[in-house]
Amino acid sequence: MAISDVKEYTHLTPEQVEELGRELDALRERIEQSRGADDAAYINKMITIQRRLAAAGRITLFASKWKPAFFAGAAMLGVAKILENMEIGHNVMHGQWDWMNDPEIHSSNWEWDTAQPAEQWKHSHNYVHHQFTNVLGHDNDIGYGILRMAREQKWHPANVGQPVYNALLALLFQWGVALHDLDLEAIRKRRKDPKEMKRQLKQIGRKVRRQISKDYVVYPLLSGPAALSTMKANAIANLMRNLWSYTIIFCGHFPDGAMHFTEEELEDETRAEWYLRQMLGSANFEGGPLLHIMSGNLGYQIEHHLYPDLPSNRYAEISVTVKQLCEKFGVPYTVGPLHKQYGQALRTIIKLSLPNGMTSDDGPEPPPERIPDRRLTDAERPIRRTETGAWSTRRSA
Amino acid sequence: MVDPTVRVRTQPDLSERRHDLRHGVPVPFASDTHAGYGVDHRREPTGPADLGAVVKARAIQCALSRVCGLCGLSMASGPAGASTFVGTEAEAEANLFGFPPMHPACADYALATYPPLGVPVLGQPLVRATWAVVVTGGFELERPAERGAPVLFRPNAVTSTEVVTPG
Repeated sequence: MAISDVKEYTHLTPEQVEELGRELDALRERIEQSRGADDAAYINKMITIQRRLAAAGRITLFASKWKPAFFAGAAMLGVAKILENMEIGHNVMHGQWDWMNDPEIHSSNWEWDTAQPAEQWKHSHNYVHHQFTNVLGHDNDIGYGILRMAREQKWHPANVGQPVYNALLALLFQWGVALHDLDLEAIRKRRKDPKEMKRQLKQIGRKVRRQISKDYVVYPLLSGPAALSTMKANAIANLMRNLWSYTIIFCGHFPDGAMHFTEEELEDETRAEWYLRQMLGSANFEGGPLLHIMSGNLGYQIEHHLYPDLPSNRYAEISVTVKQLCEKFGVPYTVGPLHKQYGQALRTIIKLSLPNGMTSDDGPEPPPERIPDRRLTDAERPIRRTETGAWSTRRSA
Repeated sequence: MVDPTVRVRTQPDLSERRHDLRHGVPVPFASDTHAGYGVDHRREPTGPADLGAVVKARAIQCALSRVCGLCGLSMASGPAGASTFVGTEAEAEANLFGFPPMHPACADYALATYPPLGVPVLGQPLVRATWAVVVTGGFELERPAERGAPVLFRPNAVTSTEVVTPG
């Protein structure tokens, strides 16, 4: 029974797991049935606000030689980029609004304001991360191939520098994400299909050219004498977005309480087991409506992972029931203020820069399974259940 | 009834797909247990494939990555709001399909190519004479409630439904 090791944490019987699944199915159905005009109005409003903010920011930057205009323009543009990436782009690409049948607000068509091509994001994030959430050796979001984020990951002397790598990742986040689906390690070891690599690199190149020409050539030139200051303001707006999206994303799966899993058998887990793994592997943060909107409602990371294709504006409502279900079934519901969640993620990064023997581990012993020391390709992911498998779980750091 | 052979307007890009040697047709992405994203399909051995199978991992990938069940390419390369499901009339009636959505052109190609082979195809355990074609803007992924059960797709913004008899 695939949930057997999780039982160690949740004390659930297989029947209780299935009952939890049925309750979460009913919640999903309730939201689907009530999905309609109000939800459509929400996303349309968000897109209108975002576009007006971006336009206001760009226009203000025409006067960016004047310091107040410089800062106001950069701030408006930065907020517009954050809104576009977090609440609009990320959620549209999950197909949360496909039911509207709007050809523009659609997972097939949306191309977001960041360097990674949407198609690659839909593979690395929607499929790999959401399907293999927190499964070591599968989920590329565990440290983004740069950071050691779980004690089960083998320590290497290069990990000592991870506080520095982390700072660089935060500052250059959009570029790190742009390369996320390439699997640099596979390229380095010549395991990557050269044709596929070329196709992906061409796609990234086109997107990078578009992003750079927009922010560092076209709009600065349109600003005339304020070209240089507009370029600087655009860089600040991109930096704002990088730092914010990095912080929010690192709060989703790395605070204490969010568990990592080792894979023995993924393929044949039931919907209820999948729900449970998503709940145990994710962490929420608290905040007001504005914070949640600016975070793409990823403060409701647990709800997002349970229902990645339900409209993000409904996660707050969904969270009430999910929290009640967690209490009813004794399943941990990891939540805390943003600063605390990020602080815990940062502590993990610093702590795991050292070998396990040099740092304390509050959690139980690591599982005995062999952890793959590299990313798996889709072809290597299990496709058939061959034996009874088990989840092994670990808390961060 | 519409003869699907006259509906193949655009040839889908199936250059990345393996060929089934027995029937001489491309193996649909969702039915292919071989290779995957990041693997050079040209170097993979060709041979007989189960054209009626739906590989669960592939079906989930189609749903989450929004890629076509036939060609395996992004649905972004087709018109938005035109995910096309092909299945039985019973599946259309239940609004639950076993084979992943396809580009419209890929669905046309699939109907013109596979049913005439006279073997189970496109996720069906039996040979089918008539097929339902459902076009939708979006869909929900139904993960299996029981171990061993298939992944299913539930269209949620249907714009057209028709029944066709290929060949």
